[in-house]
Amino acid sequence: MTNEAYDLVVVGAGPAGLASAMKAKESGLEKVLIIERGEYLGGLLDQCVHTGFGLSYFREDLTGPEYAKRFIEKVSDLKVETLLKSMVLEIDSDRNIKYSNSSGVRTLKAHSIILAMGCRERSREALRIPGSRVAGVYSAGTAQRYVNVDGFIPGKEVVILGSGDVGMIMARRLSIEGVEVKAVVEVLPWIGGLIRNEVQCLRDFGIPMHLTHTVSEVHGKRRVEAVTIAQVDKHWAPIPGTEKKIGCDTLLISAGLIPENELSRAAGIEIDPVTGGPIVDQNLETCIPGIFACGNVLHVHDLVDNVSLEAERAGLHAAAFVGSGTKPSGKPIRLKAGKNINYIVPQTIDGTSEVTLYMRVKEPRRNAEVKVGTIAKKKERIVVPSQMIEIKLTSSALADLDKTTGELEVTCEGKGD
Amino acid sequence: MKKTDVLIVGAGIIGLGIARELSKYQTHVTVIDKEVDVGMGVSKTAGSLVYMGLFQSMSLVIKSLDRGIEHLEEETKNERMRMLWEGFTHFNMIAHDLDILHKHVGILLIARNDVELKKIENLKRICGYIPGADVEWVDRKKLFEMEPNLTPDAIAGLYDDDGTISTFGPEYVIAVYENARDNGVEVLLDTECLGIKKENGYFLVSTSQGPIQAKYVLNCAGKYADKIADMYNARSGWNLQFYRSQALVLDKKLNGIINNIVGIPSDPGKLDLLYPLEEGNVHVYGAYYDHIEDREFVETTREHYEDAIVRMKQLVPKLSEKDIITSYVGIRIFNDKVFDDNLIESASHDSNFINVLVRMPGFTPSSAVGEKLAGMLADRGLELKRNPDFKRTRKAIPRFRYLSDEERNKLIAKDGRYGHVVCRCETVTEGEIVEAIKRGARTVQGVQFRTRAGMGRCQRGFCGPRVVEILSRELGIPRTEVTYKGKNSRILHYESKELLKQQTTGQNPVGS
Repeated sequence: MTNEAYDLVVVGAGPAGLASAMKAKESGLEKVLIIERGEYLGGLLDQCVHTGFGLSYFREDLTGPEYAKRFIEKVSDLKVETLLKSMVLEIDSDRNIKYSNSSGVRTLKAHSIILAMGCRERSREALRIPGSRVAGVYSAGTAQRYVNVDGFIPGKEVVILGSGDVGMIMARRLSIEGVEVKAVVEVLPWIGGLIRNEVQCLRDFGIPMHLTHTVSEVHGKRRVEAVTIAQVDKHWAPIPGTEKKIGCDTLLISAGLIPENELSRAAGIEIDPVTGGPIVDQNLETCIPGIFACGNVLHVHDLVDNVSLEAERAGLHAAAFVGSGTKPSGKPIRLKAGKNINYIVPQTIDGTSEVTLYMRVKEPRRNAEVKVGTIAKKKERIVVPSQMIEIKLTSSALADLDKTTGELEVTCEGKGD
Repeated sequence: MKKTDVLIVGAGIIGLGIARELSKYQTHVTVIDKEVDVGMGVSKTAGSLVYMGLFQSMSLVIKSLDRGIEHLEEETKNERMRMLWEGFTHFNMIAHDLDILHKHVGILLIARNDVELKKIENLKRICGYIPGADVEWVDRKKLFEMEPNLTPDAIAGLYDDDGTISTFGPEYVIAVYENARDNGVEVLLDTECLGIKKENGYFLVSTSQGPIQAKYVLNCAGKYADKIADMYNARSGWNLQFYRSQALVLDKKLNGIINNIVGIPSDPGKLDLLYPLEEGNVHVYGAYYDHIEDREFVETTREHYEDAIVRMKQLVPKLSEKDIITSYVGIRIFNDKVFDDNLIESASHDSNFINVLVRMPGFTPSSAVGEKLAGMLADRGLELKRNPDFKRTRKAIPRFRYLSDEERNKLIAKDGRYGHVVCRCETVTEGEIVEAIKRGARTVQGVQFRTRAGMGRCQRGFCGPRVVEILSRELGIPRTEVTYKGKNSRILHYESKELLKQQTTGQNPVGS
């Protein structure tokens, strides 16, 4: 069946999918559908039972499920249609969407699409940790699901590799469950996640941290019995002689998230090798007209509040696209990641309307100044890779922009640690 | 007490291949294995190729270069080579009968300098001795037409277009298992052989699940064949030797980056190859020929990771360590009595006990080995009357990912679970997982090998908890009893709050 046409189909019902569908509907689109592979709306928020959500969006401290509930109620009130336990198999450049669920495989036509598939965790194998290939090695988010949704505890002595937010939150969660978290091991000289998580999840629980260390080997015959940790050199290779064996039955990996863009790639959408997400313009539109992206599928965020805000913009632009069907008229200007800048989203702007740029630095700096060409700058007391930086390009700033230029460089100067 | 005509110790490709062959006759066959699934020893990590041709020539040259190639003519006329060729030519039919995914792939060995050029010239000569080997010389221009992503250093190559078949080893073993079982073979898993003696003219084999009486015993125990032989004092002057291989599997988004198996001609003692797998992944295979003492040394090592990464980039510079999704170690076994050959012989004191030691490769000759053993048993008095009910074919679990939408909808109409995708990376449905469990999967890895759920880039990150849940539901066991690959490999040790309760009541947590 290909005759059901939707104004907008959103792929994924996590925070990005929900907020974008909400905004698109509020902006006047009639037929809006969210397709979700899981059993419920809200995506991974359901397993995030800790607080810290909504501080900027709602000015309240909410748990993940509470934060999700507000959006779920909103999309339900707005009569956004939803399909659960339904997997999108294919998207094409004509915006046909093929999906499968227990009633069959069907194809829908959409006037616009928002990609909101989120991200996955980097696995032990992707980190090439040598040793036994045994039970007891899980990514932190998988363990979070086991503990918070399924109600099971993987083991009683845990080492966590990587100090991403999910890993630190699981360190606290497992400690509360009576598990001994024997170490958090981080290859970088700084903690990977938010500072507040370092304080509230590790320091407050007295969990030992090993910076510039890695897990150099996993031991055990069929289940983890121990891991060896070692200090690393500047290439992240273990330094011989610094090895230390820690007995444990579980190793959790919290070493980065990867946007899930297999569908996007197959559709022919161009991917940014740095973010791992689609290359988008200021409207969050990908190289295929009418297909937009937001949330962690676009680039990995550190706060869900930012995901929701970005998703709302995607919803707004999708609605505008369905209304007018036009692309921005200006010539695209590429944003170039200059000194100490890792990436910038969106990757291009046309300079015709106000836009907020999101970026991450490569290394921490104090008393930093971030500059966008000569048209905008922002001072930050401290910048770290784990904290996204926003800079709004106002219309007065854009008035100074030479719109014939093909490129605008963003840089960050400051004192090193 | 359980009674059987033929007891086979070891449910790998050799043991089960023989069992399937014997199931063509009216004889009772029992296979025992200490693991909870089939193919858990050597077969599971054997590299998944069925091969003759140029690939086989490399296998010959590995340890023989220094001896010159004249002796090879002799070697290629032996029974092992005959069984390899027979097994190879039968494989297409077996794959068809047993519904095994497979793909014929070419193999292209390249030279980057004069030394390597000499080596491939030598291999070309050796191919002259290998049945069915038909190789051609490839010049530089043609090389890049065939493999545009090859290293620009390549100057020439040697090509065999049809000597290798890519398959997935565990799938092959499982297919043979299911068909043998369908034809009356009894396969007892989680059943360890503990002792073998003779009583009143029958073997009395004690196992972890009780004794079994048998007329014949076939020792197909792979890397434990020496231990099993010793239980019956049936080892006459041979020891096993163990060698490692370590392989990387790369993301299938690279599908098409190579079209053939590509490699640099091997040195004695080392084999380096990249091959395109049936499902689109690229396999980086490194076989090492330094002898290891511990047959359970299956841990991956940093040294071999780094070696594999250097090698893959040497061949195809576009490949990156970022593309690695998993890795594994395989153990290859040889016997030190006839290193280059199989050792298939009876115990010197009892012809009804047969050691079946098949030199690698094992997948290729397995059907011919089955026929040989049937003949040997007939010679030893086993009556082989054709089984008129023998079912030649076995149907695979439906592979949702390869079906047309029409076929998918037919399946879903019968069982809605075939529309519910559980493993997103490999597009595997709940229906497939449930069917795998019905057919004998008992572990997370058992589900993985039968369906591919968990074999993709997220490595069970998302589908892991779902597969545990389905296993628990279908097997009627608590989730804390679900294992990764059998005993001592439970995924989850406690229920929520269990540890806290134990700590507050002062009990010691019992778990691991």
